[in-house]
Amino acid sequence: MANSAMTATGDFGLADVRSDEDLFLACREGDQLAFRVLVDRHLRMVRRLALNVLGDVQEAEDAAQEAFIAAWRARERWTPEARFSTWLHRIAVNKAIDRRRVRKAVPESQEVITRLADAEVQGPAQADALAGLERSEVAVTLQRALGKLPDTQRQALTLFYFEELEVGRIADAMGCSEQAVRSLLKRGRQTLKTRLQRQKKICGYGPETVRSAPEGAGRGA
Amino acid sequence: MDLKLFEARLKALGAALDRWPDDEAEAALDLLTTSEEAQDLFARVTAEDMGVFDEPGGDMGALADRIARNL
Repeated sequence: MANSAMTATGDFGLADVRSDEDLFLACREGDQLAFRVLVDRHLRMVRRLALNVLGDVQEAEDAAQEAFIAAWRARERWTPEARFSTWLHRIAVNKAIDRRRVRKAVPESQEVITRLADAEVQGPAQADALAGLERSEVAVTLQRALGKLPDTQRQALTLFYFEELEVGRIADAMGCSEQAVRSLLKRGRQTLKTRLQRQKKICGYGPETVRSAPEGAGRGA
Repeated sequence: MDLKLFEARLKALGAALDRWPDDEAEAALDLLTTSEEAQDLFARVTAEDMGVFDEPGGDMGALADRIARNL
């Protein structure tokens, strides 16, 4: 969206007398300037919504950015019957919640899934070389737990953590709504966590042995 | 947590969930994940809080530009 006029700081939203809905209809025709007006009008509120969920300014701004980009990408699906601001606020809340869930998942289930991903990528021989027998046992245990998940949960987790797809892309791939994907991820993480906690001694995993999540894992979900 | 309790807790604690007890914040997030009514209520209370507590200034231009660049 390269346009020098778009570097103004918020005047568009006040100067343009069109309604949000009229502006967003213009966006559907590809009018990025109209979208900039909407950004100027609603950014403060969207950022605050995200901040109320996340409690962190930087994360809130990232979530706000994700929300507007998601709205732009979904502009073809929006219908004029729905109030634009209500629709946008729901997107913002969902984006912020997704970020918070991912943040919370890191010390819980994501670390476990990440270890599994590491072991799969490196292969048994390299995993052995790196971490010995314990690592293979972890991989086997986690693979088994993942394999016992319902197909839809396993597919959602795999696409989210291993393929690093955004929730929207996963929804497209699975032919369901983003809300359904979030529900599958949540249930899948909970199920994995419960099952793996039972085998924690076998797994032998702990914070000191856990590698960081792959960069971008869960991004944008 | 149901919508009625969520509304009561919003009135009592405000919309910033990091000021809520952890268990209640988690319950609120679960509700927000599944209920558009809860999301709309959350947005309404957030807007009310902004009207009461926020300073009118503050430059959102840099963030708005960042969003525009990433469309």
